[in-house]
Amino acid sequence: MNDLSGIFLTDPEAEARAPLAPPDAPMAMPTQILEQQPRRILPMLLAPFRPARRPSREA
Amino acid sequence: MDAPSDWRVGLIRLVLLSASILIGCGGFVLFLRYGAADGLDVMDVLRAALILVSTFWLAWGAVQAFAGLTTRPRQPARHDGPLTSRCVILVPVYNEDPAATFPRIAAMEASLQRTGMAAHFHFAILSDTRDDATAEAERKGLHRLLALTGAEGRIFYRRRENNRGRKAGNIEDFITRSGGAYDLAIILDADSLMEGDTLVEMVRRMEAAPELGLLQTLPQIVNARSRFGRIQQFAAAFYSPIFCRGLAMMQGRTGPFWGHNAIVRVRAFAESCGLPELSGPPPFGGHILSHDYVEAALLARAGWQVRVDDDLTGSYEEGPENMVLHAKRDRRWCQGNLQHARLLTAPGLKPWSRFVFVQGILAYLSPVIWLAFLLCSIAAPLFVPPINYFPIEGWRWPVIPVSQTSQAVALAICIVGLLFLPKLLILIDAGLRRRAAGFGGALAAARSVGAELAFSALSAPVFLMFNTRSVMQVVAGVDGGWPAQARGDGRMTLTEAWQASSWIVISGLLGGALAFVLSPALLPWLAPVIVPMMAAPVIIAWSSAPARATLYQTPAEARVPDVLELDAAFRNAWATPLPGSRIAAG
Repeated sequence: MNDLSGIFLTDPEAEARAPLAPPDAPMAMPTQILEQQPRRILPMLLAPFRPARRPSREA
Repeated sequence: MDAPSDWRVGLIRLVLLSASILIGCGGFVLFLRYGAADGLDVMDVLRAALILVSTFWLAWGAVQAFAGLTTRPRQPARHDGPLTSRCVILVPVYNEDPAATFPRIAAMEASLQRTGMAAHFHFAILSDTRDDATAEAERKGLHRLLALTGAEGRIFYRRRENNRGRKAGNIEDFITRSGGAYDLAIILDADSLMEGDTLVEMVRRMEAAPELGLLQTLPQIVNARSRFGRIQQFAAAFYSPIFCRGLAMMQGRTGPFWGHNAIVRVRAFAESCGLPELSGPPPFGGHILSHDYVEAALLARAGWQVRVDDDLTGSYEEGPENMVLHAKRDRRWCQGNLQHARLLTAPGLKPWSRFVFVQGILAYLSPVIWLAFLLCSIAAPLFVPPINYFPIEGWRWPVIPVSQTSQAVALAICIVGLLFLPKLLILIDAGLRRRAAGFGGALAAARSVGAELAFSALSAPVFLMFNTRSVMQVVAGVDGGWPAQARGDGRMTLTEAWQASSWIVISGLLGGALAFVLSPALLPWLAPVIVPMMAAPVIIAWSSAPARATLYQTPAEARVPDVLELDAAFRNAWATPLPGSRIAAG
């Protein structure tokens, strides 16, 4: 008969060192946005005067 | 309790807020009239402005109690069928003594067994313990816990290698690894205790209200032994339910979360409550310390209802046993609440959630405002303009300014009334509705309230100073860290109390000397503040001693709840050297 004592620990002290972990059932928890992005006032004011973007000839 | 209609909640909020602002404005006007008697100066206006904010804050607390006295708890929606949800009870621990924490888990498990619904509940002990010896005791304690309860397969344990995000990060770590296995999670503190019936009832209410993201209970303080602890325990049991009912009337869909003794819908929490680190260094940047208020705001932002049910009993926690431990805990909460200033403009939050942040900030700024008012009052004589006895041109008789001391007396009476009247009304209400029976009867409750009011008056200036120091430390950028919460009997010698509060005594002496030199007439007014400051070590040491009087009885002492009896039994079992025999659930 194979000796399984090295695989299945019966020592309570050893069992205590390998405690039962919670089930493996991952769930996403996305990080929330709580801080306003800093608004750059000057670019906002100048936006209407910015020339329209044109694609380059290579595009 | 379905969410009351928006207009009704809006109306209650409007009425109570308006009343508080009006009372604050009344204080402002009374003080301005008093100050203007000898000629209006900049210091008068500044002091009147400080009185405006302080009186508003006092009134806001008082009107919540008045509102709470006007109604009874409403019957919430629930269902009586079999439970269908999978629920996990989360017990985050951080360097806590397993000999205190694990018997509580055993007690809740046994209490759940008595409901016959234990199979629907798992426990997860989420260790953030940094101390290796304590961690080793936790691992061994788990084995003992399983032997005591026989709940193997329903009680789990895991220890994080790093404690990123502290308690909020601990919960988040669990949800990202194991959240998919559960519909609901009951979040506890290491010192929480809840009756099995209450745990089941919370699940029933969550199942009956699919839009409900979080349900908070009002925990009662138990197991207090010191004078200070028992006063807090009594106050929490006697006054808090009424204040909580007032709060519940105003909550609408944006109720509170106090971080523990609450149940959350795991999916809602996962979707909405992943907390970022704030930019910049602590104390205003970094991890969000008082995460509970923020999580409540985020759930509401995502459209979930957050609710406190003030009718739910069977929810307990322990409190600090002395004033210094209380101040230390308050130091953490102070930093956490002031950090919320960074979140006032967070995108998408409900206006009421922002106002809740303002309330938290004001709670800690209010004592500082009072202190500023006192200091301004001491310095006021330096700013008084010379009296003009001939203000009317061509009139050759002197005009003697009429004293407006009556205005100041009226203001003082109003302020004392705002402090004491809600508690006295709660006492009368308890007598009339026979709630006082649980507190030893109307007479015993009256004696306890009287003693509590006297102690509040004595301890308030000491807490005012602790609070002010906390705010100064936070504003100066000193990070208070997150020390492990010390529990135990908490008794302090006079020497220890002196070491913790000598600076308060010196501040009191300096304040008194300054008032004696600059405005001696103010000394009688300042005495209720300065004398307790000078006696701070005596107050701290005296109140930390074990309570012998029969005062401050609470319903949980008059009739010990089952889960507390179970906790005591498991503590005894834990104290025996051999694994204790299982305690019968039936």
